[in-house]
Amino acid sequence: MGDVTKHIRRKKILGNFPFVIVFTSMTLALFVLGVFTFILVHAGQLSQFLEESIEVHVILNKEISESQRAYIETQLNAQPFVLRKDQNVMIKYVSENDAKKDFIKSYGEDFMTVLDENPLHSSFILKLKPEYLHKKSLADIALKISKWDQVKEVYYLEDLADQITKNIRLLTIIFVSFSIVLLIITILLINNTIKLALYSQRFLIRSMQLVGATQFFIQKPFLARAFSQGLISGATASLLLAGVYYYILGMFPDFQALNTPYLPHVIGTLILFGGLLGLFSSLIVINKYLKMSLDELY
Amino acid sequence: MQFSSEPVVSIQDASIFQDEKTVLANISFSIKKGEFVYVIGRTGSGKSSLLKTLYADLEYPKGTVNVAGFDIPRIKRSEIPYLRRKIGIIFQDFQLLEDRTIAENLYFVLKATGWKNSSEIKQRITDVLIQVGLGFSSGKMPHQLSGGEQQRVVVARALLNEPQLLIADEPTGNLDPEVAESILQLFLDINKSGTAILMATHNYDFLKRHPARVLRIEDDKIIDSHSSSFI
Repeated sequence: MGDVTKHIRRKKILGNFPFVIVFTSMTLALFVLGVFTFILVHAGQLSQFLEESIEVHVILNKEISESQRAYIETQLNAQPFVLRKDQNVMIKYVSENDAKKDFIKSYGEDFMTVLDENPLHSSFILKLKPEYLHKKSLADIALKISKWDQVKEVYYLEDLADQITKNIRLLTIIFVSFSIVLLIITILLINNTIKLALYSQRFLIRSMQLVGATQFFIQKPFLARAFSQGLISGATASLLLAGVYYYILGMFPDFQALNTPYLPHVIGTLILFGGLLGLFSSLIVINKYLKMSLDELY
Repeated sequence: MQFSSEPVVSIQDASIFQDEKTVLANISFSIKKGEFVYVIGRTGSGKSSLLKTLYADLEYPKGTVNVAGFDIPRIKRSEIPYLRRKIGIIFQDFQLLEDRTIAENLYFVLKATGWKNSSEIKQRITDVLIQVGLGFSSGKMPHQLSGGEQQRVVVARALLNEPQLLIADEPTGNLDPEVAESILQLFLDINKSGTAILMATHNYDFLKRHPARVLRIEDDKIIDSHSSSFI
């Protein structure tokens, strides 16, 4: 009897509906949306960062004299396509010795123990202005320089620039479609959960309607719960986003060069958007079902 | 006590529908403030439909149906709660909430109808429980009360917002004759204090022992004991 009383005494609270399913789906939707927004607002910087890492290597002949080398450097300095940052021309000379050191550093083996002479060539590494980072102009530049005297060859990572632009567009399409699908799933889940909650609380709601509770009074607890659930989902998605962001930074320290000032903005927007998503989807659903007679729910 | 002549319920050439079927056609009657009226008729004759129409729980009727100043055929959804606050409803499908005490049941209604001040709420709950003779039961759960006592709580709940009209559908249906009589007595006492009562019943003993105006529903018509055609 004691148990029965205890069971009966557990009051039904209006507006209570299952948390986990809606929470999970909403968090996932918001997380994907957050990643997408984050990438989008930083897309300019990301492509700039990647574009700036495109380098053109001008490999020089072995038998080049110092004066010839100086001449090539002056020629390169005068080229309009070479990137200039803070009055400095972005050209770097790598001597045979530097190249050897870099090689040993990268591969950990000293080929000089096997070979008699250093097989590596000296080179210039250029960075280009963004407007020249297209397939055609890169090819033109490479062709032009490769014809110079004492230049052995010119190479660069082909197509990288075009690929970046294309990939950002593709990424946008994938993320937007994925977010839309997840948002629809979230709204459908909210719809079903609230429908079930309304059904299980139909006597309470019926009582409220009969004594003269206003529609808003009945809606309020559902809306409050959906709103707070949305906020919590938004906050969780933000935590996940920040976690992933810092994890990637840890894994790839190069990304630290990326200036990402909008992380707090994205997080704030996500939390707010989560709240509003919960609020409006539940408002639509509850309005739909309260217009029905509650017996019609099933 | 003086009552204004303006009726609480005024129905003129109205038709009442349930599930798009006409239940009552071209009916006319009115109920004055402080009046006691029985509604009788066979099961399925349309008693409940008539009562539900009065508190806008059914499809909107045609004709003139005015209840407590609200024009029912043209009432807006947002106005329905305010109509219901002027009416006390005692209905078969409107039971007490089994998961909370008597006081909490009443508290729930007051909160739902916009009461904010907690000392006023407490006072009102005490007042109505005393009025129905259950001054010491506020902490009990509904299942700890007898059927008659539960029905008294239902009446107390209907009285909370001091309605102009109490609508009761078979309020003594499941009670033994002695308890039923005491519930009827409660309705008569409430009526004496000025609340109009419209009660659907099958208990014809009531009509004999406490004669009052009777609306008899027969073949989608209403026959009024106040008119000459009533036999």
